[in-house]
Amino acid sequence: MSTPVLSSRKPRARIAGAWWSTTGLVIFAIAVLAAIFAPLLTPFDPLRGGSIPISAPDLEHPMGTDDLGRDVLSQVLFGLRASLFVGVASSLIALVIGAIVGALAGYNGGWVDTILMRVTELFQVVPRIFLLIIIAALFGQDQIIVALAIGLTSWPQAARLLRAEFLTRRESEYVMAARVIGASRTHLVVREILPNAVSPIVITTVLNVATAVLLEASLAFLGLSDPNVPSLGRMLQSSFGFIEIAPWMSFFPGVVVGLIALSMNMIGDGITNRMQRRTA
Amino acid sequence: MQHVLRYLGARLVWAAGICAIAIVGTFLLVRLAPGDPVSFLAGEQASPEYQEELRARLGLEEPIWVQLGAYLGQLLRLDLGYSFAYSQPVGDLIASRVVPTLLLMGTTLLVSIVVGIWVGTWAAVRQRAIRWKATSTLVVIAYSLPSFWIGQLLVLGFGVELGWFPTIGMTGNDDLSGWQYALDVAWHLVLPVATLAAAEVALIARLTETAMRETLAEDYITAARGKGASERRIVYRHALRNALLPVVTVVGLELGWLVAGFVVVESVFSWPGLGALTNAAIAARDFPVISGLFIVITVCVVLANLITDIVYVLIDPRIRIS
Repeated sequence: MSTPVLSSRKPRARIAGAWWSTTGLVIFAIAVLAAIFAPLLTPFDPLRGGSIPISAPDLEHPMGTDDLGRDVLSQVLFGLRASLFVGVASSLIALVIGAIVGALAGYNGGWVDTILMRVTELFQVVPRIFLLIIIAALFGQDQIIVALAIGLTSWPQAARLLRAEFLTRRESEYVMAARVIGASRTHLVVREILPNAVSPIVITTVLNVATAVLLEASLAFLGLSDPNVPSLGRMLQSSFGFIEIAPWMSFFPGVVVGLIALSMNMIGDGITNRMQRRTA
Repeated sequence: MQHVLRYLGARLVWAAGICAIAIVGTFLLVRLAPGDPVSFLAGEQASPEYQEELRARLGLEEPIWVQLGAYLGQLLRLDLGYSFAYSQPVGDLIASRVVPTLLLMGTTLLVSIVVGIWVGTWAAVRQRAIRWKATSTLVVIAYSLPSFWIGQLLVLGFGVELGWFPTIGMTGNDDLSGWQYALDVAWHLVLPVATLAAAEVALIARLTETAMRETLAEDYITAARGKGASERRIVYRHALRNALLPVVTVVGLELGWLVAGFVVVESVFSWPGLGALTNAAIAARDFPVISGLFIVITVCVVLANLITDIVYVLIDPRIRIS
């Protein structure tokens, strides 16, 4: 009764209920399984034609065929492999670099911090897509190089988060206590401070997967992917000329890229939500 | 005031530093890459005579820092090299494509900031309404879809099927003048801007919503309510002003992402700007154009960040005082 205006505004129940992140996890799990078991799920070779070109989806080709008579479904299934590999590998690379840079900057402070944060800002400001284009054009377009390039350019977020966490924890009482009883630097960093920063780092890494999948698709769309490896982005590049007569060639690969990115964003939302509830 | 000037001065120096590092970094990348740097710097279409001339000019036998000095000197004279695919200097080529891209980017930014802030505020205020659930879900979806694919769908839906909007180029008729020309360009802008703004609106709406929710829980909002200010005044005058600060920061940082958008989206709509040029240059392996575009766009993004800093000073009085 006392404060009617404000207390009626309860903290909202976010859309990120448990079912939201569970749905994300399920979508992602299906994508991973489909990529792993791709050869069992389709009788067609993704890169070899042989069926009637540009035939609409039917029972034999549930997603239709492309202009070269290749089965779209099998291209999508095998294309998932490239997307998932680049997405996951590059995010792990970004995680490791971000963790090292963030921990070094936040734990040491002073000039180390200043220099590392300047480097971080540099990587955040320079237009990443052009950096990736140049690297792929110069060093080749296979998946490993693309994954490395995306990983090497997407660590700043993780570094910033970890640095902030280290700066606040460094002076906290329990870290002081550990230092007083003679804990080593490594122990302080790895055992005392790092575990507290796990959630934000996991969220950033999960969201990075979404971004990396989209970046990989963009690069492939621009023609910067290995032509001998099926890729969802490359499918979207070649499908565009046929959008009027064969919209299924664009529709399915696009939906799949979107679903992978969406599933990671949903999982990220879910973890954010749990974390907020714990601290609230 | 002096404090503000010193702050902006420091940002200016840093901005110049970023550009310099990016340029030197590209130079080193080209030298590090496997293969002959001349074939990269000249482009695949270059004549053998030009390749020889370039080899002599680059002084590839000289120590690397001498080469770097020569390269920087060339850039300072605004010479970005020569494109054989287009038979013209890279600088002229890029300059001829800047206006369409600026038009597209500017319109996209304007639309996404206005719509994004409006949607975000709306969602934060109507906390219990079922409608914002739909908004939040749409926001996540829009942010997850590849922009060039959204573009393809819009081309198919509104261009091919419904025929409401043009899907190719910036104008349908070069003979138009004055208002008619402007209208025609605006008409051609609709689909590309909608494509690029989708993810940007989603991001800005999400940020605004989070910031607004935090701000609306502050004590001074309670105070404003207590003194009987109208809900409208509280939301727009008291809360939004403060909630905008993090939004401005992130919009500045996200400009790089917007660049990633126009590079792919311009090709979908054959928009005659830098993005379509990038795509064509990649297809032709026209390396002088690619590296020239990288340098020009990096400088533009850094400048835009500098403008963000200035906007920040303008809307946050705390920076001016302390």
